[in-house]
Amino acid sequence: MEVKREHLNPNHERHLSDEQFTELLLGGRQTWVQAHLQECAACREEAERVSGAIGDFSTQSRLWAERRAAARVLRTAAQTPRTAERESVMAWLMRPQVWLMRPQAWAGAALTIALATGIGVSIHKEHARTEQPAATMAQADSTKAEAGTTTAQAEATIPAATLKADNELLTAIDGELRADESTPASLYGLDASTSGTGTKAAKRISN
Amino acid sequence: MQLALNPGMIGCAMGETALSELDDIEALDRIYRARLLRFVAYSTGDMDLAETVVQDCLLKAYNGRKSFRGECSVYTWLAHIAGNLVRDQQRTRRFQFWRRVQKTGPDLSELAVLLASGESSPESQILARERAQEVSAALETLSEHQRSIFLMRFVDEMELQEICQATGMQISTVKTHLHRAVKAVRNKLGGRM
Repeated sequence: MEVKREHLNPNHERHLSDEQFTELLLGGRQTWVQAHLQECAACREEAERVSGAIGDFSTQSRLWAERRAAARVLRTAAQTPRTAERESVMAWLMRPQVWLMRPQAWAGAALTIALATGIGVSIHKEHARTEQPAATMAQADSTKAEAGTTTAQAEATIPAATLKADNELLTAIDGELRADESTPASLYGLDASTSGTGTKAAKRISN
Repeated sequence: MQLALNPGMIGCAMGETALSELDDIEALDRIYRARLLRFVAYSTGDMDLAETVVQDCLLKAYNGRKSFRGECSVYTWLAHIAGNLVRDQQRTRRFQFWRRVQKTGPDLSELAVLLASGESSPESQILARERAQEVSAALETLSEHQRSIFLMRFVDEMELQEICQATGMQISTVKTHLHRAVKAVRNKLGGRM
């Protein structure tokens, strides 16, 4: 077998040079290198050790990367149902809603809004009436002054006989209401006339 | 009748396969993530950064798939993109600072249980792990190019021509980097130099 002269090791007894060693690791299969490895135990051992270490490193790093990638897939899979759920809701919201095209749906929606508004307004009024009596009374005083002028204006247009009859009726109703007025104290027997101990308190309450 | 294989047809088929891979980002992720992760993790020495870089790499490849001409394999193209991203990261001063402060490189010791097949003894498993860690430590002493090229050749098992395509270097430059890297690894492993 012919061996090219430039590839020959100057001294066959010397070990492989760095370049030759790298070529060997890169997969070079020169005949004379193979022959040298068969003869030189030191070069053979080193070649086996280095290529073995690189092989171990390659295997371990591959296992590490595969495990890491697999762990990521598992993490993603665990998150997917929630994501899919969210996406399905978004898709439902984004798609054209056929039921919105039907007139019955719009009529129903209008009725619902009207009912909701009516209920809301009545609740609001009731709330305002029960929660703010003091404010209402304070407003009533100011309203009285305004009412005075309003009444004077109204009296000018309404006949005097009618006004007199109305006033008498209102006075009678007012008298009946006063006679029937009962306080919490009287309900619980704490009226000034019936109890001595709770007189002051009862008076305060009845006042 | 025997069909003659037309190299042009093979190339076309390979190109179509590559394009179909690139059109599906999930397929890209499934096929190449682990391989890219290994390359980037050992190139940067930072596990968390590697995840980000790989994610960016796959996204860039997917977004720029029209520019893939099919002149090399998909992995070579991805390695090219990943290499650029790694260099971008390594240029930033922030990366250099955090690399000094906090090292979160891949821990090969955690793979002790996964390492060898059932045939190998615990002693040989420990020995193999130690040798792998020595290679890993040697990689840290290499320059950026030496490390990338070493990983491409000996870990990703890419051909020299593919490394040239991925790095944009001449084959002589690639060989020089490889030679220096091998020398450093041999030195670390206690070889006769």
